[in-house]
Amino acid sequence: MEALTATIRFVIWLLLGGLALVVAYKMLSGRINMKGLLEDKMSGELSPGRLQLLLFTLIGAGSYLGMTAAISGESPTGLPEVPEPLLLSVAGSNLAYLGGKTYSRLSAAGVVNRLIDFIGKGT
Amino acid sequence: MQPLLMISGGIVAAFIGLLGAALIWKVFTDKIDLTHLISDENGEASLSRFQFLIFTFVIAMSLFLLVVASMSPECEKCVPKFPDIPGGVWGLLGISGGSYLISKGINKKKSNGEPGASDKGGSDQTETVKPKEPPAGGQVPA
Repeated sequence: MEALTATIRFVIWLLLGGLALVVAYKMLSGRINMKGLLEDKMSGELSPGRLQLLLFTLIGAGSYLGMTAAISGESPTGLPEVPEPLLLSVAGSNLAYLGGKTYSRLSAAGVVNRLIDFIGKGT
Repeated sequence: MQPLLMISGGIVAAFIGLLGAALIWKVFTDKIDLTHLISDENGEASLSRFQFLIFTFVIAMSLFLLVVASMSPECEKCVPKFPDIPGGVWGLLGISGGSYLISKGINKKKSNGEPGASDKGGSDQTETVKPKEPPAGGQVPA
């Protein structure tokens, strides 16, 4: 029975790890389209909102994986609880990204200028 | 009962292993095309999709890590079972999925609202229907 368990463990590690490696390799070699990942779609320049979301995502994902690896030797019954600061920072980062994206769209459509004019006339 | 269990377990493991190996091989040799795995409708990479991909891999790997740990022969107290998933993990996936949906909504609004946005494709593209020319000889079918 132990041999079967070891085989299943090996097979699943190989599949999950293999798939992650192949996807990572294709991303790095440009065979998965990464064009414009960090660019503002309107201006075509590097977007700080996108950059911060990418950093928070990688830091959050890495730290959660590290937490899981740390408790895996202590007979855990479930996945580790996500710390509130991590959850809040990922949520805040996503909000900032979406806010920036909405602003960029509205700005390109001229809505922001019209709003500023409207407020200027009102005062 | 034990040999039967071993044989059926072995067959299932071999089947899943071969299926997975074939899948990875096809992805590696580009027979399964992943070029647009994280691209949006305009063909550019989408950060929301990338984030969703990263969290999916991290949670899948974390789950598997814990299942493996619970099956370990060194751990005598451990009972092999599917690990509990705390609310925070659902929250993390929910934030990522929600962000993806809102982002898609913003993009959709842009393509509906701006003139010329339909040039890139989409449902609001209109076609000019050309009248059919009569067949050679000038005979019109009844």
